[in-house]
Amino acid sequence: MFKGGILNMNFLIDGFLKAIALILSNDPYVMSITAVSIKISGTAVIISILFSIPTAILISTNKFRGKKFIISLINTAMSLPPVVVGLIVFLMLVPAGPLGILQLIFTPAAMIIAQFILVTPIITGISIASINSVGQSIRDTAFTLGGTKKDISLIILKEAKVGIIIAVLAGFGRAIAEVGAILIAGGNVAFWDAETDTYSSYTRTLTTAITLETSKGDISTSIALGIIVLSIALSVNLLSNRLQDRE
Amino acid sequence: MAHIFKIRDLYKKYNEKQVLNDININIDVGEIFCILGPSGAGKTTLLRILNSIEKPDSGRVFFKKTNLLTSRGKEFLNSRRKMAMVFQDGAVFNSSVYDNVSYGLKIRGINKDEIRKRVNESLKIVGLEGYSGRRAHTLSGGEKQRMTFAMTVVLKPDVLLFDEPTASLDPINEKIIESIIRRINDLGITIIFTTHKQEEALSLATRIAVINKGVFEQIGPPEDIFYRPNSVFIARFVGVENIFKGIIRSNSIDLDWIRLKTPVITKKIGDKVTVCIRPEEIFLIRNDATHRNDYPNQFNGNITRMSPQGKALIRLFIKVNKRLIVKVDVPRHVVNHMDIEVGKEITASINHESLHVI
Repeated sequence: MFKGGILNMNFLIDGFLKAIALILSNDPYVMSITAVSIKISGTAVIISILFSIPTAILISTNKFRGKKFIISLINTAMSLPPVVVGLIVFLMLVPAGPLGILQLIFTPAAMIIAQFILVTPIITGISIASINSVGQSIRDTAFTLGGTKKDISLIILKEAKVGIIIAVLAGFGRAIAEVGAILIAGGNVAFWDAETDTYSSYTRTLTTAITLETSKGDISTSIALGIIVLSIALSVNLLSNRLQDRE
Repeated sequence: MAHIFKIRDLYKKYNEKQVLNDININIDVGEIFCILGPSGAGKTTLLRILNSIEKPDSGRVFFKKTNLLTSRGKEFLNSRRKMAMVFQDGAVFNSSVYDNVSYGLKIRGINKDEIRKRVNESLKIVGLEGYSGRRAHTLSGGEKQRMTFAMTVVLKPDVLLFDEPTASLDPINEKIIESIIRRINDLGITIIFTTHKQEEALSLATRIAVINKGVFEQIGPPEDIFYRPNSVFIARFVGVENIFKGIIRSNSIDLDWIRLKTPVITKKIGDKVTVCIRPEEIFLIRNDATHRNDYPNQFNGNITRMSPQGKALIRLFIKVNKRLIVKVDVPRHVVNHMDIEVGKEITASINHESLHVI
């Protein structure tokens, strides 16, 4: 047992060194996975912004019945289990499913749909909170200075800007680190190029690749992917913290 | 004179509390109109209704010829854009002073050169020249308040509504704000402001409405409110410190400690009344004064306490008949000159012209 422990240590150090080498050498497989990850999470977040922010403004600037209920629904949806979201998207998109005719299952589009569902409550919920924190007094000021409904929405948006950017970053952080939904909806596909004998990702992302490479025993690739996903998440968090400090 | 606001039968309730109760008033163009009252009296709610930020439960509010409660669309927006309110908490946008002050003009689609000109003019009026580039959140409380004034003055409105403009300011900034309000009024802008400070109402307003529990108790020029209050509440609120119960006799009013001779009695003999005497209207009589007996309504008492009352006056608490306290404000130099001190016995006189009978 003791000997085994020492062996494991060597194998970890070895894996780590190889992982660094993979990253520094711009390994095409690792790079293609990173690109797919950023592209899919980024697209999901951008599409979500177009939906979440107008929704957040509508909800927080209007008084209507069931407003509290909708907000608590959104807050609950912030912690939807990704695997369940993946399963639902899968069931909708499989050839026999209600949207099977779109032939989207195991494509980047399916993954974007799944991540859209996951990030939208986060971006909407945090945006609502930051818009609400702008407060009635700013609204009253814009109103008394002659602002129309549109003017007031714009000034609120401007005042809540940093909070909304933080909401978007939180959404992206969730998307890039998530594995369950995109694994089920995207299928973790990479294509093999016979000529160069290299794999390039189609629906394989940093997180789904880690699950596969680890189970295959390719520890160094897993560690390399892990380092990349951690660095992305860390950068997003640092950026978000800096913005919050500036507030 | 033309009315800028005409308010009829205004009622407003929050939960179970009647905040405004049958408010009726005309406000004239060019006035500095003061709504004076204790906190919770309904002052802020009334201003917010005038500015259409809140709706009353019932009643009518006319701004010039426009009924603000029924007008819609362009007509409503145009009326709304001829007035502006400065709130007590003075919210400012998280941007530069220039962006804050120019906001109202930008949303009106005014061109850039005109905006620049008017922002500079307004900053000058409030004494914030050269502050354009500062971030609004870095201003001091007084500066921030002046900037919110500039944000509204820049719009060249017909009327400005100031909610407790000096409530959170120190005395120096309070004076600055008062002079700015006068300057704005000189530009031809009607001013309506609320306050709970009687001195401020007295020194600024052309007309005062005293509000208590959502009801206008008295409306009139400052002299009326301060020297002829029509209720004990107003008398107390505007600083009439000496309020006594009395009975009208044929040529006097009898209090239980003094018979006040007075030729002017509007009430019937035998009526129970309340007599108000402002502390600065009672005079001390010097021991060496000639014609001592010519002073009317004299009384003697012992000074039990002295406290400064503003910069120039000292308030004497005079015990009469071993139990009653009469408050008398005398100039500081008189106190020094007459060697007045606690424990000393003095003689004072009440002129019948300074009596106000409710």
